[in-house]
Amino acid sequence: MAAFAATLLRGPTELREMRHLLTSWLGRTDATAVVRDAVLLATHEAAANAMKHGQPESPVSISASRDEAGGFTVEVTNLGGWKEPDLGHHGRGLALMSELMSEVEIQTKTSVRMLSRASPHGPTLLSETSLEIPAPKRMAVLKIFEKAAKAVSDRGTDSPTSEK
Amino acid sequence: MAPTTLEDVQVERPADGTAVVVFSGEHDMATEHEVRELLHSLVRWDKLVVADFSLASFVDSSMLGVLLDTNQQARELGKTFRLQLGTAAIVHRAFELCGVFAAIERVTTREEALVPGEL
Repeated sequence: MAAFAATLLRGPTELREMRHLLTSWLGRTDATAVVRDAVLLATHEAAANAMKHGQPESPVSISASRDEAGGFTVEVTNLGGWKEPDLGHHGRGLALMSELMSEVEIQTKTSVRMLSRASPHGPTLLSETSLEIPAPKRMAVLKIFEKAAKAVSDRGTDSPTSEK
Repeated sequence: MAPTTLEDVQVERPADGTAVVVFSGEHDMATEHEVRELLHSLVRWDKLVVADFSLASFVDSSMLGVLLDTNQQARELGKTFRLQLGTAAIVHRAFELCGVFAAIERVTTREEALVPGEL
């Protein structure tokens, strides 16, 4: 299925509209409700953080894709760079993302983390790769990996939705 | 950013000194400031404040932070602050993962929510 993509400005309803679009996209996968909720909430938190701490006029772009093994990769990018999370409220959003997703990695400047898989249905393997991406097109990247293993383990606790 | 409104937040007054704030729909950082002001104002003037999320379909970490701060303020003032929750799994999960259940009294019915004093 096609990947999810959205670009947000700073309007008060932008996050809500993104959530509705992402909910619709997730509903077209066969992921369980538990996994869909996790991806939705974690993506919202990442986008909200980017809107709060990115440059005021810079848009926030969001992409989400589902791999053959059933995992999700979400990427949230802003042009303003990430503010280091406090232990208070801002840290709560990041903690929430970490609880909901298998892997959360904040990258700055020109380095991103790449995901590679040993086999479409086997365990997920992560490898570090540095990419040189010209600034300021991508100064900050947050990648969220939802491992297929987690999605598979959650099956059976909920009725899957047929992929359309 | 355009002004935000609290169209999905209603305050009920079931008894003197008691306020029930009913949250429906989705709640995120767009209304964080307004909700914080409302809850903190109610906690200052009322003995028992209930935040009813039974009808809410989404909450994020900014709203959970508001609730934790409100609970702290209520404790300092000797007031009671409770959460009433419904069945939306994503709301329940957000509360749980942010440690809200460990900090704030949680009930599932309005009857429980309105019991005076500590449960």
